[in-house]
Amino acid sequence: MLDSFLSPIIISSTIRLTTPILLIAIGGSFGQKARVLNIGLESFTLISAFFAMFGSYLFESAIIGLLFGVTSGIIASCVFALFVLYFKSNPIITGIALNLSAWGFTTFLLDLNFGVRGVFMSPRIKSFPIIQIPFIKDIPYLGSILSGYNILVYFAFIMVAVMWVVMYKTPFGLRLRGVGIKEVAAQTVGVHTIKYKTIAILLGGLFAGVAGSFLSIGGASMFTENMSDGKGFLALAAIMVGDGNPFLVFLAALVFGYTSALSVNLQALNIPSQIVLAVPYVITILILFSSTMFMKYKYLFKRTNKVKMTS
Amino acid sequence: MKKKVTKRISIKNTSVTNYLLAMVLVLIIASILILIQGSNPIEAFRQIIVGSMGSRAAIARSIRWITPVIIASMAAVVAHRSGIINLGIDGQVYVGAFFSALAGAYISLPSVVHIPVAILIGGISGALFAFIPSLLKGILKINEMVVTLMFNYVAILMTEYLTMQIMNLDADIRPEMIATPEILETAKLTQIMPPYQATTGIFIAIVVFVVLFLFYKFTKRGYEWKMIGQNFSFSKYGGIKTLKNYIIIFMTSGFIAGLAGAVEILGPHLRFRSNFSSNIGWDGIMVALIAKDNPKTTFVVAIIWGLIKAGSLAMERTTSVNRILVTLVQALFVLFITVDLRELLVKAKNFISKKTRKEDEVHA
Repeated sequence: MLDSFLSPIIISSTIRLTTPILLIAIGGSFGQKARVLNIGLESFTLISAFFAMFGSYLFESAIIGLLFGVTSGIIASCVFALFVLYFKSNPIITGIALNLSAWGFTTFLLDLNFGVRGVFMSPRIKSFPIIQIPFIKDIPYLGSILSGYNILVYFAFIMVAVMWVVMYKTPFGLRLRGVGIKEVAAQTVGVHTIKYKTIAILLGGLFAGVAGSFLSIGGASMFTENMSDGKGFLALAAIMVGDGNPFLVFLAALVFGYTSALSVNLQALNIPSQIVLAVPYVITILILFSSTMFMKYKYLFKRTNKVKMTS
Repeated sequence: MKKKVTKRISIKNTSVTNYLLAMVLVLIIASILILIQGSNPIEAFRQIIVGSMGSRAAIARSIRWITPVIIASMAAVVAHRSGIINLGIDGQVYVGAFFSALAGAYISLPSVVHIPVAILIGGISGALFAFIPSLLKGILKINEMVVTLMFNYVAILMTEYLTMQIMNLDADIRPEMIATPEILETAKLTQIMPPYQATTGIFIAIVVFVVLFLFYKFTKRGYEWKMIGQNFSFSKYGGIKTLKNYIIIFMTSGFIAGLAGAVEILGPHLRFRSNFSSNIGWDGIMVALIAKDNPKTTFVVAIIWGLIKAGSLAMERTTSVNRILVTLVQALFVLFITVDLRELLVKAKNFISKKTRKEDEVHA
């Protein structure tokens, strides 16, 4: 039975299910570090999922679809940034309103353009093809889990490392984190905090755009109403757990992906689907709980009284 | 030491001008979208008004939809006023609805007792469902937004699962069929305008409003709850036991949300069906936001919201306009009133007049 928990099918499902949440969470990490509340991520994802499908439909090309998706994600995040940073609206209200607007808007457009409610499929929608890496795919176990995904999946996992470097090893990342830690101090040093926060929000929109594109044209070739279905919020939870550190966020997203992937497996053991589907959400809460507990009682594990400079 | 100011979500800059400006803006956008869709906006608006108030059926429909919105928005008001961002109202509605459906269908009591018991059970289950999020925030300071959002999904899945267990349903049954049995006659709320779906639930909603209004205006507890929302540390120094109150307030919000679910089941639905709620919780939250968490304003806005909701259903039938447009427009309205539109217009006017003045100087 143990091998069924780590079987290639489960692992590859995990990777595929982790990807959207991971992408959103990577983008949102910048906002987290800059102390911007990322409530709007869900709406960016939904909007970009629709427009990615739309672009792919119009031009029968997945790449154009991706372009549409990312652009619409960035535009949506511009709206969020405009209201939160410029008009100084409450980010929570803006986020909630944007989420509902996105649902209304995409459903409306779906009805308007395709006369369809619920699900839209068409042979014109082209998804990204699956890539089989020539050498690796023949390795017995690793081959089936490392090869055979579309490019967005590889992009997501590579971005974890890239964004980690950007966050912690570049001047941009340093200043961004500075803005989050103490905005006034950053301003004193001459950092244009609103510019950095805007960039953080736009990065969130960009990655959410890729995530949304993955949802609709990353294999599914369809758009369903409310396609993002809480993935933005799961990503938000992952961001909070990892506190914006791309690597920790990646681990959290991986947990979500794994539990989702297990759902089919657990159903075979006669555990009903609803319980299994609920697991990621419960796990989120458990992770939040344990990470908070850990942070609170971490001093019990420290041997010395030396003050450590955290990165 | 950093003073902890409770993050209340409410909207500043809300003079009447701003509301009117936002409404005009939103109506313009709605008209454009309706035109794009190929319908006549005037006709669409007319249908909304006629569909919500133009006939006996319309008024009954309005009453039916106003009821849950009032109760759900009251739940949001209770939370927001004390600085609690309870985004889990939808989930608490589900839980309350489910258990009240069970109470309505499986317990046999005379009508006078059955209805209050079923409603109370709905409320209590909603409150209990809000207990864990309140603990997590109260003790561990875990952000209640994320937790309550997660619990929403847990609620929908859990109630669906329990329904299937209780009804011994097969896993591959059609989704519409997942429902509890119809509640007994003694549990049904009386229809006040038969044969339409308006029930005595509206009176329950009004009672909830009146109770809350009086509570906040005239009782010491109500004042304390409001104060916790204004300034957490200040209340603590003032001697209000904040943790205990926090949990109680959170659970009260959940209780009222459960009531909304119960009234929905005992009234229009008569059984618990999985995924029955058409975003009642989110309607409530948005109404409370628009009304700045003031009970009286919330009541009025809730009525208008319910009217629009009822009217949009009629509009969808008679014109070909998708009623999702109404949801979109409502959400945009919430978005726009967060902005001080009057300020913006003044700024824009100044900008334009400065530009024209510069041109005059150049030409002179």
